[in-house]
Amino acid sequence: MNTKELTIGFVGNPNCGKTTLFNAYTGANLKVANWPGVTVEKKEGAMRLHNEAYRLVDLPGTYSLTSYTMEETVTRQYILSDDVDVIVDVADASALERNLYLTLQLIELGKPVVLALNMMDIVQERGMEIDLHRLPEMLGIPCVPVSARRKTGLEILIHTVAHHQDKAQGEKIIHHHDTENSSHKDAQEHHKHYAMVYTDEIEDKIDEISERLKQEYSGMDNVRWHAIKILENDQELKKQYPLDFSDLLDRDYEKEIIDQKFGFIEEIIAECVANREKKAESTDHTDRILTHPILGLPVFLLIMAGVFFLTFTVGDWLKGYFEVALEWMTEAVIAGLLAAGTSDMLISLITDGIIAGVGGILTFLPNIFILFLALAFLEDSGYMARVAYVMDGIMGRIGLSGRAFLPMLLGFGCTVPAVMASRVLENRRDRMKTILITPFMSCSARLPIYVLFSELFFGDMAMVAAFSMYVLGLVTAIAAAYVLKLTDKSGDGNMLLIELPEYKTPNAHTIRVYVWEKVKDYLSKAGTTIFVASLVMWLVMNLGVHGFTTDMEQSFGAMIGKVLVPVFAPVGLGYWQIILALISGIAAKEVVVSSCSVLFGIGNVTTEAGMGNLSALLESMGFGALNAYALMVFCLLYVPCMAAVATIRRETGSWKWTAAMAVFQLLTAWTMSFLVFQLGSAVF
Amino acid sequence: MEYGCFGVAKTAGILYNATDNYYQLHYIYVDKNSSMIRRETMKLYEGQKGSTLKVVHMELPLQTERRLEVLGMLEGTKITVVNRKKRGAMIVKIRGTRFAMGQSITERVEVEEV
Repeated sequence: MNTKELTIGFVGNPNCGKTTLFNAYTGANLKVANWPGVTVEKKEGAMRLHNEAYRLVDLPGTYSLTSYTMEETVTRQYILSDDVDVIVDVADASALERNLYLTLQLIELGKPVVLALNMMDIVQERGMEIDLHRLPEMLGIPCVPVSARRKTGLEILIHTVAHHQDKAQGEKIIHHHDTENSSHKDAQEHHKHYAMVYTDEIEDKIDEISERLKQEYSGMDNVRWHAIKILENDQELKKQYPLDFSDLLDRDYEKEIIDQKFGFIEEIIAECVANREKKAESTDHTDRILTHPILGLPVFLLIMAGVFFLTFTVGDWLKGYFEVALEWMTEAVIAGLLAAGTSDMLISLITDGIIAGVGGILTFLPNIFILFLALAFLEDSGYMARVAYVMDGIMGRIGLSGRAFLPMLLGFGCTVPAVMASRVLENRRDRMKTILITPFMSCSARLPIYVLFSELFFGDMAMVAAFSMYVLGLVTAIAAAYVLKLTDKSGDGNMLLIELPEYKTPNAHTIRVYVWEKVKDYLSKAGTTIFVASLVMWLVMNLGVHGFTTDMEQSFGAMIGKVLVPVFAPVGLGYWQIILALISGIAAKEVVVSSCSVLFGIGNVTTEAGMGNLSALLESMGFGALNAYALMVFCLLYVPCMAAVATIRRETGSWKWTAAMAVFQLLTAWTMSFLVFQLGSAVF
Repeated sequence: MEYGCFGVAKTAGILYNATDNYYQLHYIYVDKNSSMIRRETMKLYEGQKGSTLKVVHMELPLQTERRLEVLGMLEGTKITVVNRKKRGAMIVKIRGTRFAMGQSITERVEVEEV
């Protein structure tokens, strides 16, 4: 038995299902997105099969192995290192033509390569057929059909890897490129050893460069690959091997080399893929409506409206059951604690502090679950990628790439993944702009605040009031982007360029993983951050200069809130309880709701009775519908939660920038609620 | 072929650009003696929905051009216009894969009809 574990590097184009395949082996549940560039960090996993240990490394998704981007360089250097034994090239078999370009480059690297033809189920669904006998013959490497989402072919792939650790590759049976017409002295030899054989002129150049490299660097591994890369004018390799090749590099060979690779790929496709046009038609049909120049936008808005309808109506219906359960639990706990003779302080801590805080958050779980279910559905079906195209014109006008719409859209779910999704933007400037405006998109954690206060004060119009927050957030984001565009003097347009996957039926497993990730995130947030925040809130509320107190006026919280009252009075929020709730909301937006319930001493704030109590209490304080609306506006626009701020810090790499952004958001929030409250007061 | 009002004809022709060493598709306006009086280049964004066009030349920032290259769009590549918007954003099919491209790209790619 082999005790040394085999290291397998997973390489593939962005969006080829590499991450899904990787997860199928390692068992880690990670998000599967229809967007290039999701896999940026190096991920590792381990597995065992037939008593053999394997180490799996997930490399960044890349289209090529040049050294123009970080991802490419990272991938290339890692593969060339001794760390990796076998490369698994994951290809989306349903778009084989584009995926094979990377395959040809990997083969040229000279390491053992196994081609995993992923998404074979989609190939079949589309009625396409791939000649699995001819394909390995032409490429000279094993080709294993797999389906990461159906979990088929997984064991066979690892088995193939285990038997394909040697550098010597199988003899190719390649009859491509008019070999007969080639007058190159080594034409026959070349075709025996290399899948990719170039024209005679290029082969001559490769030979000459190889000769010089061999003379100068006698121990060099895979001279041919180095020679090809030098012919392609690869800057990194030229630095590494500083020989003068200027006499040979008389013109730009890189494009010719790329073109010839694609020429060979066309031959492979012609020979190995049958019926490929068949199902592409159905995507074309769907696209005729969904990406229609005029219809596309209303359809998009309709879909978005549908998402929110589901989130509000179905979500609220389910929420009812959660609330009943929570109320029942609170009563049971109080009864139990009383029976056990617990002190008033502890009962207060458990019911007012913990159950009211954390429990209140749990009742919003159905809304969040449905929202993410809808987003997962859109993402997995392939529609999400189209949004960038549909929105391109509009986004262009405010100086953002159509791509920036994805982070903004995700911002409706949660600012944290949305800020992370801004990585899809190519240049830093665009990324910063997007990160700046993304928090204005109303995240799902702010939803509980809208739901609570709009239901308290707007009755039948509650849904409209809550929805207007989303519109206002969008408008603010657009306005901010527009101002940035006006100040931007560089003036080069944004380059929208994204791949549009074919439409497919969303996969239940993918959606389950996606939704579960989000729900788990939300729950763990409720369990930790919000738990701690609720506890701190309870302490601030129930402790004062004289120790434990049931009189809120005497607490520390009241003191902090009272100091800030003059600042918040002009925006209609001059109540220390509200100010304190807003401060606590920086921990997590949902906390505003739980803080309110603690601060106003109402345990069952989301139930009808609780709402009635809170409403009466607020009205008696002079806090009316307009104040509530100003509060919602403030919550929409002020500093996002700590997790989001931390993410922004990580993505921008600058505390200064992050702090400046927080100040900007506070000012925006104050100004907007000021306008709302003062204008509102003047009108009503 | 359209005729202008003064006996001027608009037609398409491929002209060789000697300075930059490439061929361009142009709309050429010729008078009745067949001498050229004006020419225009055809850009990708002018391509009609459903048409198949061949890339003649790309005038893009290096980074964008690189990305297009590794996606298989080079000079000489045939692309099909699947869908287009008024301002020039397009969905095109390159070697079997669909891509959405903004106007800023499509207006800088010169093409010829196949």
